[in-house]
Amino acid sequence: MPKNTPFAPIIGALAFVIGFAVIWHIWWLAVVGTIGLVVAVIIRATSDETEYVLTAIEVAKIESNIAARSQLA
Amino acid sequence: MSAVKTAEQINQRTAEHESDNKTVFGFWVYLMTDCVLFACLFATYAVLHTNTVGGPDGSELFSMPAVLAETLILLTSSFTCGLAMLAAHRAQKTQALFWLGVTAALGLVFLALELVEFRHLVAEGNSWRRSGFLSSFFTLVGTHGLHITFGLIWMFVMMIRVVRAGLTRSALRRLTLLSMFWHFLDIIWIFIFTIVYLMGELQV
Repeated sequence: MPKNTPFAPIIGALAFVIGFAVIWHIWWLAVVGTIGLVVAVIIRATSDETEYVLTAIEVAKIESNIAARSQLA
Repeated sequence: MSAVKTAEQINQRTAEHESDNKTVFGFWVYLMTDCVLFACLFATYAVLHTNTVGGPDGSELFSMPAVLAETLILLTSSFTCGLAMLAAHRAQKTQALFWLGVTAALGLVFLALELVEFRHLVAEGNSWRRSGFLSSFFTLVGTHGLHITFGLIWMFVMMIRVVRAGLTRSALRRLTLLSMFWHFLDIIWIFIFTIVYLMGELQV
């Protein structure tokens, strides 16, 4: 299963900044945004622990807990 | 207890293997969308390449020896990329790094030659503003050059990672994707070479 990550909104926001800067010819902002975007993508792409494993045993445990609770109710 | 642990380990290993396969499949899907992008640019070029509005056409502008050199350099870089992958799968770190370095160097030379060609065209007043032909030419060839640039950044990042962490499982997976990307760009260049340069030279 994929872990939660802040990089999706960060990359989206930087892409927005680049688009805005290019449309209004703010070249310094476009350069800063592009560098930021490339760096963000590299950080995300080089991190290894982006997933976790949910085993069948854990799923069974969670499911049986829910089943037990619904029986109590 | 030990039986449970083994089952969990097997579970995890299968999950890892499946997720690697999914990653490669996902990358194929990305490559196909990229293919659609280039197909659009090729179609635009095919429509516009006769619209020179009195300006020069391809046969007057292109320098075939330089383009042939670019083509051979890119083809060779694809070959050395393949050698790097072979070494990586045999867990030969130094060799893999060496061939990756050669691939990156050839990619840089290709990019430099392309930029020299662009600068030459712009300096003679044949920039993308001149005609529909030149607009579509710069968009198509420039987009390919941009892809090469990002491929080179990716390659340098991978080389640093392999130096630091070695040929780990995730490094191998990413190298596989990188080599797919690089071969894909090579194929696109073959189409550019044929459709833009060769057919432009022959004026067909």
